[in-house]
Amino acid sequence: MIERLYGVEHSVMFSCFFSTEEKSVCPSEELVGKLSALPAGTVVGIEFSLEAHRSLLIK
Amino acid sequence: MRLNDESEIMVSPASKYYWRRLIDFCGRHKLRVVYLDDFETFEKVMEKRAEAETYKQRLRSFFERLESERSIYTETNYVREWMEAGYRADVEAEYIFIVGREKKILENIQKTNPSIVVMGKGHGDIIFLNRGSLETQGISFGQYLREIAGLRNEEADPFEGWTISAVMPEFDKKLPSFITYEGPDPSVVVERELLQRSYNAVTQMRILPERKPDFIGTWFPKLRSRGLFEVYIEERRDGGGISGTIEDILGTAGFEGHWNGQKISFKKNYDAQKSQGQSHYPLFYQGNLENGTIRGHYDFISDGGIINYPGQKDSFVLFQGDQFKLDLS
Repeated sequence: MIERLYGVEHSVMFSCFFSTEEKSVCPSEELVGKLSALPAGTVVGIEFSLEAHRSLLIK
Repeated sequence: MRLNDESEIMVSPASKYYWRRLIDFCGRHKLRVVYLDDFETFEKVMEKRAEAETYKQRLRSFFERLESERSIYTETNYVREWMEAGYRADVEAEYIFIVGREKKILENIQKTNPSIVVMGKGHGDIIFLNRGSLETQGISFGQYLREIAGLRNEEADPFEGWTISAVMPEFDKKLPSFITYEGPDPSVVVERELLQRSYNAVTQMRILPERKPDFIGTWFPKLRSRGLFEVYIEERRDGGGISGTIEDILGTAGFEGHWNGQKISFKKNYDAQKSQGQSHYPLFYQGNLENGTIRGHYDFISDGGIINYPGQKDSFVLFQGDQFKLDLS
C-alpha cells in the first residue's frame, strides 16, 4: 500500500501581459519535513526517469 | 554516460530543478528513490512530435512556394490531409505524454511497491480520483496530499508589478505552500477529459464514442477533427423547438434552437465548469440542409444580441446521426 501520495507542482507557468515563462520552484518545507521523518531505506517513488536523472548528473 | 537530448526536451529545466532537489534530499536522508517514469514512452512521444513536425514543414514549404510564385491558394485535398495528419500526430503525442506515461507510472508502482509516491498534480489528482478501480489492480492509497506552488494566503501578493523580471526574483526565493487534500483540482479533471475527447476525435472521429448523438459536425471544416462536435437533443417542443447539450474538444455547452428537417438554428453557451478556454460569448449557428449535409455559419453574439464577429459562409457542417462523412468537398 502507498501510505502517502503527493500531487505536486514541479514548476509554475507565470504569465504577465504577452509573455509566459516557466519558473522553478522548490519542494515545500512540509514535504521535505515529512520525508526527513521517514526511516532510512523507505522506498520513495518519483515521477522522473533514470535517464533524465543521469542527464542531471553531468550538468 | 551522456547527456540525453530527448530527456532535455521532455523534462523542462524548471521541472528538473524541482526533481533534482527532491532526489538530492532523499539521498541525504538515505531514502531509496525509485524512478516511476518511463523513458521509452518519452521516445514514442518524440517520434510523434517529429511526425507532426514533418507535416508542418510540408505545409510551410507549400505556402512559402505559393508566396514566392505569387500564386493564389486554393484548398487542395493534400493540404487538408497534411493539416489533419499533423494535428493528429500532435494530439497523439500529447496523449502518450500524459495518459501513456501515467499507465507506465502505475505499472512501475506495482513493480516497485513504494511507500511514498511524489508525482505531478496532473497525474496525482486523476490517479487519486480513480483509486477505486486501481485497488482491483493491487494499488491502494492512504493519504493524498497536494502541494501548491506560491505564497501562503497571509503573505503579500508577489505578482504585483509590471514585468515578470520585477516580481520573479522575489518569487524564486519562496518555497511553495502546502495544503492537505481537499479534492482534485476541477481544472485538472476537465483538462484530462478534454484531452481524451481530442484523442477520440483524431482516432475515431467521435467525441463521446459510447453515446449516440442526434447530429455530428465540425465548426472548423479546414481541420475537421479540431472542430468536431456532437449534438444531443434532450427536449423537443412543438413547432420544431429543440434543446440539449453540445460536446466538443473545448467542453460541454447547452443549446436551444429550432430544427424543422430543413433548417437549423441554435444558440450555444459553454458551461464554464465543464469547459476550458472557450468564448464567454454565446454563439449563434444557422444552417440549411442540402444533399444530406447541413452547411451554415456561426457568429459570436453579445448579451444584447449584437453580432460581434460575423462568421464566414460555410463555417460549420453538420450531419444527422453519429456518422461524420469524411469525403467533404
